[in-house]
Amino acid sequence: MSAAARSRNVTAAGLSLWLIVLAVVGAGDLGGRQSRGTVSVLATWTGDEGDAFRYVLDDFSRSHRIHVDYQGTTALREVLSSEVDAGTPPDIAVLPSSGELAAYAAAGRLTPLDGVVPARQRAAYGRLWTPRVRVGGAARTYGVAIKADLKSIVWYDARRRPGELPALAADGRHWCVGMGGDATSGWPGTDWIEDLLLQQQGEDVYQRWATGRLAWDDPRMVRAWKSWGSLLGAAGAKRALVTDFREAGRGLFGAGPPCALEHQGSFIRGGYHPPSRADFAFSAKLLPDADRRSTAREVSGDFAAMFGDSPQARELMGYLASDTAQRAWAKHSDNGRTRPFFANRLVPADVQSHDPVDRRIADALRDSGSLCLDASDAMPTRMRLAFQRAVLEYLSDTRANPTRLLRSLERVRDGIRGESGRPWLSTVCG
Amino acid sequence: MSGTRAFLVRRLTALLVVSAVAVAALLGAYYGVSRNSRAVTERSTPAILQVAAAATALQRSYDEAKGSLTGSTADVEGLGEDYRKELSAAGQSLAQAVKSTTGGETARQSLLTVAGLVSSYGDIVEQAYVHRANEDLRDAYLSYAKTMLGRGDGAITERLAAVQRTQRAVLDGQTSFGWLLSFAWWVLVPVLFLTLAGLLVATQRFIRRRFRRLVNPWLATATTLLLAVVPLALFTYQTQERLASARTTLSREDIGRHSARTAEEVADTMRDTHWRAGAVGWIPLGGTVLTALILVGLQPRIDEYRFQPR
Repeated sequence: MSAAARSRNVTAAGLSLWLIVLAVVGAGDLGGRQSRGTVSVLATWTGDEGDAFRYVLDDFSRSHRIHVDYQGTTALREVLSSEVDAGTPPDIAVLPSSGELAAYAAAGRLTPLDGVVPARQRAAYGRLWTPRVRVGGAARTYGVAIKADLKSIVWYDARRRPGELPALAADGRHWCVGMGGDATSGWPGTDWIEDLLLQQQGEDVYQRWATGRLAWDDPRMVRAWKSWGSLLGAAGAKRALVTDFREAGRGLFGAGPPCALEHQGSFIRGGYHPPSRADFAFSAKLLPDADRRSTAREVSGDFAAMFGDSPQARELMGYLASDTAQRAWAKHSDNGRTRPFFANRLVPADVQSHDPVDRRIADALRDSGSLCLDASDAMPTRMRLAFQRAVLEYLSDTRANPTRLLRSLERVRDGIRGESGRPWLSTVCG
Repeated sequence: MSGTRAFLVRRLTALLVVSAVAVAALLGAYYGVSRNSRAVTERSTPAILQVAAAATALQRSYDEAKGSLTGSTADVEGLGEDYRKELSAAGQSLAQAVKSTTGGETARQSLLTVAGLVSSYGDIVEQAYVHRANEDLRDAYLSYAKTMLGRGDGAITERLAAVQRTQRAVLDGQTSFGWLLSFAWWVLVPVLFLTLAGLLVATQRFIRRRFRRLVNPWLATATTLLLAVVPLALFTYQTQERLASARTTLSREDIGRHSARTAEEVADTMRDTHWRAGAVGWIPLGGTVLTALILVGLQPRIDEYRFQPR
């Protein structure tokens, strides 16, 4: 090769190298420019559940070119409250309590979703899952339940015959019960009382109580508490008091199980070892003095709400409420452990899971005769915390008449009625 | 151009280029170590100590609360002064940690969550006090408080430990020499400075031969100036030793209990490193002087040949 040709080759190689460097730098710069902004999201999901939800958010980021900054925390109430007070709330928060949703809406902190989530999309949910709150005279939708759970169920070892369950249920020693749950210890007990009232007295009485229109010391309420206390007995109640709810169901599948039944929401199945060994029956068939024909089911939801009103937050809110997002969520959840369920009718049950037990949960969430939101979650926070603590106090002495505690709770309800910023939802069943 | 002039121009160029590269390499190598001394003292040490202090104060607050409530003086002392002191100390440490964590945004968010959980933990302990006369209920609330502190993934201590792991990884990065710095100090800087010294000595010899001068004082001074690399290497070695010592101090198990003392210990260890770190400013200055000495030493000899006929 001549010296001139060699020189040309060297020049060409040098130029090519520069072009590659410029292309890489240019692509990096362009990538930065392509992002159309950032949305911050706060929710309670961490660990496996957090990873699955993050996948949905990543999917949104890719398709909409909007970066999502996700924070998962088990102290959502405290973190959200301090961020709101500091004037730096997340754009979107997913609240497990419809009562807190109503309180933030009443305080004027939330953006109404009527113009954000299209009417066609909201219609796929049903009234219960898109609660309306009256703010300044107009009732508007402030939250959409992007995930749901079924609560009026009792878990048992699938190797048992369903026929033997009623006899087991009549003896309090066969129930696995745990009240420990960190700062909200006592909540599994509130679920018991709520479901007992719902299955004994029906939807109307339950709704009146959950919306602050029935006295706590009403005889029907007293009956629900006494049914529970008599079923567990003094020893069982004290054991429940010092058992963590995450540990309570561990004994369901042992060789000589210390307990055979657990009254707990659909989410608990992911914590069983193995989840596939668990089956469930509706609580109406097993709770004491319940109307065995009842088709009313208690449910809970995680409600997405908008604290900021940017175009990017609106896009993400619409996406989270869509069946596209929820299908992706179901697809990427670790099978059998942390399966999410949805209230959105556009997400078919078979997309949510191929597992027959999960399918029955998904069907119940859509097709039950009547669904009622978890009453304590729907109440103002002050009422809910007092309820949880009253449950714990009752368990420490189930021989005592619960009326004294219920009168205290009634005084709390009276007190809340005079306070602004602590609204009750107008409906919880639908 | 005569052969001598061409040689001198080439030699001057070589000396200037090698000087520039050697001084840049020295600057990078020295800065690479000295910048860490300030980062360890001003950022990593307080961040690690605040998280450790919060974890210790929380554990102590539980022990104090349990001791007070199960003792015989709960009716007059309540949860006790020591419980309140520890809980307040934990809150203050957390507030500082949120501001100064070296673990990035994830750690900051995790600390905010911990601050929220601590507020709930305090509330649960208060409930144990409210129900102190009902032993079952009191013990149940104490067990919830204990679970909040120490159970598995979501517990307060585990969250603090995760933040601490991230902060310790940052500290390890700041206190370890790393392959790049090892290469710079063991290979690059010695090779470049020896080359420069060799070139200066060879130039001195050439000038002695060609111009019959015993010594060129400018080039001799430049050669002597190169010896400054020796104290700088020594400073670097000492700084690195102290960084390693600070890391050992901060790795002790009990730093949360003696955080003030540990902070003083680290500050004492690192104190002398700060003025050494200031030497980083001398290096460009030395480089400028070196370049000037080389130019002043060689330029007149080159100029002697400027008007000579071919």
